[in-house]
Amino acid sequence: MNYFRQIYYEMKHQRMMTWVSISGTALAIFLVMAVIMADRINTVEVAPESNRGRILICGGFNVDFEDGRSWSGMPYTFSFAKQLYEGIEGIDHISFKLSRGGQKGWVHLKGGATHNTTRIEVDNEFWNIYDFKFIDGRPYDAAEVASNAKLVVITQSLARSLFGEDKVSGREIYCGDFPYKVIGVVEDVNPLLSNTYAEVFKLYSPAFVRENDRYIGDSEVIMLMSPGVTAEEIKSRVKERFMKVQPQFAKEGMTLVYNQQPYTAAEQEFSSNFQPDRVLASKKQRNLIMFAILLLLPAINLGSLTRGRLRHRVSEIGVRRAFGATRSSIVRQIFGENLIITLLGGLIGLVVSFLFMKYLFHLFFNFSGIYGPGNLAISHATPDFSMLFTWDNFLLAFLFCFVLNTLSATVPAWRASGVEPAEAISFSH
Amino acid sequence: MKRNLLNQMKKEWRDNVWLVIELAVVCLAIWGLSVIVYVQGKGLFIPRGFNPENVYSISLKKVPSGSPNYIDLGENAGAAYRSDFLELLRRLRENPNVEAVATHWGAIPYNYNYDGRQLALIDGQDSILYFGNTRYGSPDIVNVLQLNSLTGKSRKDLYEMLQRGELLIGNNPNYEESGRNPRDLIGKKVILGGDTSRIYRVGDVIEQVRRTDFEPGWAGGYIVPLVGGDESWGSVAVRVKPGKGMQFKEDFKSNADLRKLRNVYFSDLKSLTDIRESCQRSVEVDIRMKIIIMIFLVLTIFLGLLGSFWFRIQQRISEIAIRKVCGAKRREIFARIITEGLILLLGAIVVVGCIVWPFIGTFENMLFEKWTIFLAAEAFTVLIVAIGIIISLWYPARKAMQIEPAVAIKSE
Repeated sequence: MNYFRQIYYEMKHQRMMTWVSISGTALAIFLVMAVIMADRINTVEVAPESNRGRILICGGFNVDFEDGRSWSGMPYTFSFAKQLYEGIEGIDHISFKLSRGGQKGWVHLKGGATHNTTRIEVDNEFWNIYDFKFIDGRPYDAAEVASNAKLVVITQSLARSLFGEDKVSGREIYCGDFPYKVIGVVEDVNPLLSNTYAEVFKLYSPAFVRENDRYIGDSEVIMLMSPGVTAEEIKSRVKERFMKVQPQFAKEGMTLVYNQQPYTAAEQEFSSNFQPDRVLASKKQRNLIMFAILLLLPAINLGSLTRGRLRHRVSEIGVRRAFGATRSSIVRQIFGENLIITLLGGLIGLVVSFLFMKYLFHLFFNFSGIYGPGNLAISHATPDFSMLFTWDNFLLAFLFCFVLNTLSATVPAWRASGVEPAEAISFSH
Repeated sequence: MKRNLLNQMKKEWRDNVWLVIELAVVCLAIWGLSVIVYVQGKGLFIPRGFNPENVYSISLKKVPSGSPNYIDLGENAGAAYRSDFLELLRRLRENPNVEAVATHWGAIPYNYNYDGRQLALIDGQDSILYFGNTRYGSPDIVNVLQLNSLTGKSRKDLYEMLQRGELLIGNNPNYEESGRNPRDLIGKKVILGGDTSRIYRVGDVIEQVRRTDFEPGWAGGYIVPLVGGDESWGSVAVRVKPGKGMQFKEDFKSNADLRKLRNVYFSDLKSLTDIRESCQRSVEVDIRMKIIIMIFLVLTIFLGLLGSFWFRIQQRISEIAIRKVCGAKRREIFARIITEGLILLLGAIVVVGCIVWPFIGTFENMLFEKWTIFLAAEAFTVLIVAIGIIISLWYPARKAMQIEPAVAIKSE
């Protein structure tokens, strides 16, 4: 209670400085949190990617030839993908997906106008790995995939723009120039969720794909690990599989390069790199440097403000010391008072960062590669509040406030608490 | 007076060292960021060479033979495809909202495709060192993109040149850098990329059509005519009349006759400005991010100086009062505080210079820029930070000016 009274007095007495302190803290926390939240969009767990922490992606493989040529990131044939990934211990579900994900696709009703959409092609297991919310109908099943049925699942917004309503399962739409039956309607997916974003989910039956090569095909693989299993365990099992097929490649003068497959959500961004773990480590290092700069500069400012504020309280501190207050209790008192101002600024910064991410994110962050997205919806996408309001984000914001406060208040508080009572009181007069 | 100020600053050296360090970090970051933003964004100052407003791109599609929508035309399928496509083009041209329609292959900018070829003269020298991106277009591409002649020719002249099968070349800066003038090529007979099967005459020099607004001229090139039989392939580009874009889109959506004829249909209508937004997004976002970081740094400095000087002035109330009693003018008090801030900036700039000096050659090689840009960035940094300093010190300095000597000394 004493803290709050003291803080209230300080704020009232030093209005200008209070606003400078609060704005400086808010600015620092806003920037740090905006950078963190943007970074975490690749890993945040929200529907339909609620299992992101357990999902592993195998996009393609790399091969080196004896003559120096190489293949990089080639999608798998169905048989080769099964050879490498099927039946691995610790995997609950394995799904095969057409590797050319997020393709543009034109859909229309018979004789109607065409709608430009984003399409992915997935098998039945996809619906077990990702938790889509079905508004109408159901996902396709194993039997339908086995018979290569002409089925699609579409999103709610596409159903509305094509048919004017949500309940459209059983109706027919044309994808390109071929008719497909709508078997289900799902809630729209945020375009920032790159593994699940689409408006049309076409049935993919890898067994029906005509393959002209033993290794290079059309498929990529998605796996859901069992709870408690780590990505490292699965990686080591996959590595064994790679070693097993190596002699087969060696006979043809090739080396199948194990490139740390399969990839976690955090690694997926760097999967084309030969050492995604190293790239990830250097990215972490870069982020740490950035956070250090973003926190250190305001901390220097806030530190000098705290020092300035404490100069006015020398006599008060002297009196406290004269009445028996220990040095550490004074440091604690100043630290606590300062923390309240920091938290107030941090709260403002956090709220501003939420609003910034929700409404201005697309102007400052690019999630669609250097050549841009195929679809403007992706470039205009902003995170949903569910992707931002996570316990982790609140905890991190608090942690950064604490760090900022420690950096800016500890030294001035320690120095101020060292004042001799007699000197302090005489100085003030 | 100045010596007094320096003495006073020396007494507060601890605070001042922190401020100089902070200013140096900020100046270094702003300096580096401004160089990079300049290099990334300098393309925006080069003329575009075309007008992207009111232009739409349309893809040409063919109904596959296995589709239930396919109309079996027997042996005439090939000829029908061509005639149906030409008929669809005619319908587009007749639409009241449309100004011009062209077929093209890679002629629309804002895509990163690059079909680079070298021009070679067939009479005279073997090589003329002109290298560029090949863009194929029917004569109407001149009107759709609103290309500009650099020799004063009208668009009608350029249209006729393409119709005659002549080539339009851009003012490639790489070619000009080697001391040559592309205008000297006008009227010369050339071949493209060593292909001797087709000889072109260079018709005119036009303003370079680059791939994006940010790229320099190397990725520009020439317009190769698509004439006669060639007109039945490629994509379609349409210029609509000003203000008629929405109406054209509505027509395209609702009028099936405008889109489809038997097994040929148009799809994927997109405005060039939307294509531009997608294509340039990564660079634009990157530049915006760097600018916001610069703003953050200036704001940080603003708050830091404001706070520090606010306390300094509170501590110096009696000193300021005595100065005023001794005849110092209000303006002098104000100038003294601002000068103090600018001296700190000078210190920071010297520190930055010392840090950057050993690496300046590396920067120069990396960015392929002349020394001037580094100095210009330095001047820009000083200007931005100095403005930040003046704004942040203005309020405390004003407060100091308003101090009444009698009141200040009485409080002491």
